[in-house]
Amino acid sequence: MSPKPDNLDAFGRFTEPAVMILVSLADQPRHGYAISEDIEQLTGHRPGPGTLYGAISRLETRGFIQPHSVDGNRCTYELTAAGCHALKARLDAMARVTRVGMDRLQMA
Amino acid sequence: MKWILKLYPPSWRARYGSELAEHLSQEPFRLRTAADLLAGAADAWFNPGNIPKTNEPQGVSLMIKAARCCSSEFSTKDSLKSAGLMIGVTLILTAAAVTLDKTIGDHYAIQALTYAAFFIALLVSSNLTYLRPYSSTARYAIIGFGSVGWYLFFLAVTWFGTRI
Repeated sequence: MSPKPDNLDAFGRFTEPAVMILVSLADQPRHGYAISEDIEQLTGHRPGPGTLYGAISRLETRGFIQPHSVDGNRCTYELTAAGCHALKARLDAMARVTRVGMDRLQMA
Repeated sequence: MKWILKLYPPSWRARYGSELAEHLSQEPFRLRTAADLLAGAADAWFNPGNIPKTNEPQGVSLMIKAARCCSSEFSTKDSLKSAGLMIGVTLILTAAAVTLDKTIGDHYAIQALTYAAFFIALLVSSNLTYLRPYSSTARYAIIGFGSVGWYLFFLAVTWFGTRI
């Protein structure tokens, strides 16, 4: 059974940063800078602030993330139910591609 | 690098400006970061639908904000108070000029007061909005010297008008 579309593909060049943001928020709410640091730890690449906030604004507009709390000038974000669903669908799809790719590499 | 934030649309800045400024204060300056911000600003202008709706005031208060070019850093209540103060001070100064005109007679110094009334009122009303971040001494200095400056400017203009 194919998963429901997660709509993240509509983000264009912001799709990958958006997925990374969702992964970063999967275990706890974080503010922008903490998300950026978490992504760097996870991937070895730190997204630029323009890219990061371009992705955050898209995720927030579509209801995948929402503000959790505000600490001074920093807003902490958390995943919504729609965000959890979109992330799960995306990770399932990536896992399938990874599995098939690894299988084919072993056959080669 | 925070100056690049001014290139973003106002609605975007209203929503993310302060937290991105905070974010940038922790980042060292890099050309790559500056380029990324420029691309982000262009994206924000070309894709306004990706900016979440904020709880910005609508209707009349929004019109007042737009008319006075207010940022969202002060509340609607402050804007309304400021607008009331601006109208009040303009009326008071204009009434004073009319009274002086009736008692003293037509004089370019009184005309200057009439012309300067709105600009002085604008400065005074800014005390509740734009000038708020400054100390009270700085605010009173800006309002005082600014008002005198406006009056002297219009005094010079009206004086020059009587000479030609």
